[in-house]
Amino acid sequence: MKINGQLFSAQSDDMFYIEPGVEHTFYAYSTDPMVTLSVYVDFQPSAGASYERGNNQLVNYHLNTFELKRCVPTVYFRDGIQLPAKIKLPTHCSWMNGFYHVVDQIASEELGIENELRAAFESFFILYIRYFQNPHIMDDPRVQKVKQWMENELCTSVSIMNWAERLNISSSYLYELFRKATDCSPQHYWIQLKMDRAKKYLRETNMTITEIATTLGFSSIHYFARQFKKQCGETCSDYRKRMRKLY
Amino acid sequence: MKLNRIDLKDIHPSIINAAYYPFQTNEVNGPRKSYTPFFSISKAVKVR
Repeated sequence: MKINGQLFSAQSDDMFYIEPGVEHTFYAYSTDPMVTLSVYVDFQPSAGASYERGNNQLVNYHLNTFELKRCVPTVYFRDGIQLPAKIKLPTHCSWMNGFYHVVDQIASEELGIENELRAAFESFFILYIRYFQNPHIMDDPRVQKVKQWMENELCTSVSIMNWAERLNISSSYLYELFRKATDCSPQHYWIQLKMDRAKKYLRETNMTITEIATTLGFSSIHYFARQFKKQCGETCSDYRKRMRKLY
Repeated sequence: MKLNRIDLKDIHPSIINAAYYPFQTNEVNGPRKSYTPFFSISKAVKVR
């Protein structure tokens, strides 16, 4: 397999991820023939070009006629997740079933099949990400405890010092433990949690932005709105509008 | 190239196409480009 000029060997159960607009070539050898199971996906259809299910015009062999504007946007995950070009799948991993289900059912006309395919792909995709991010790394139990407190006390304005005191450690040591486990500071992690909850409220309720800010323990709506824009790259109202278009 | 930076929680995947592509031996398929991202799994087949 050649992706963007780089050659990869392809064994059975190797999975490749190819971004839109990236040149690639499949090679098959008589001594070692392969078949491929492919799933074409748009991670965020509201963001750009959209294609109907079953569209067979996705692939362009005449590279000089390739139209960049027809590409769906390349997705970069804010969480820093980077999908590798190639990964070796473990044998007998049940989380691949979602992927195979999509391949099996793509032509189905059953009622609700779009949702079924999406759900199957999501179940595969989330578990796949957990797999390559190494799920075996466990957090320090103290960090786990603080994360739990954060979840339970999301609507308060407790300081990091309070949590450190509860654990009987210094706040700088808690900071260090947290950084090691999550690659971000406790404050940043907590803000992220609050923003995730804010998104849920924006998507699923009719709460006003002021109500959401107050519920999440922000003393100022302006500070909340600034944090939201900073973390999510768009305003609360834009996020609400965009997400509601999808459902 | 259009870029879109999103949270994992915000993905709303739409499955555009999926297929099982059997290759003839010694076949070269490409070079090509796709308008959407895709995942492709290689599976060995028995040589007859």
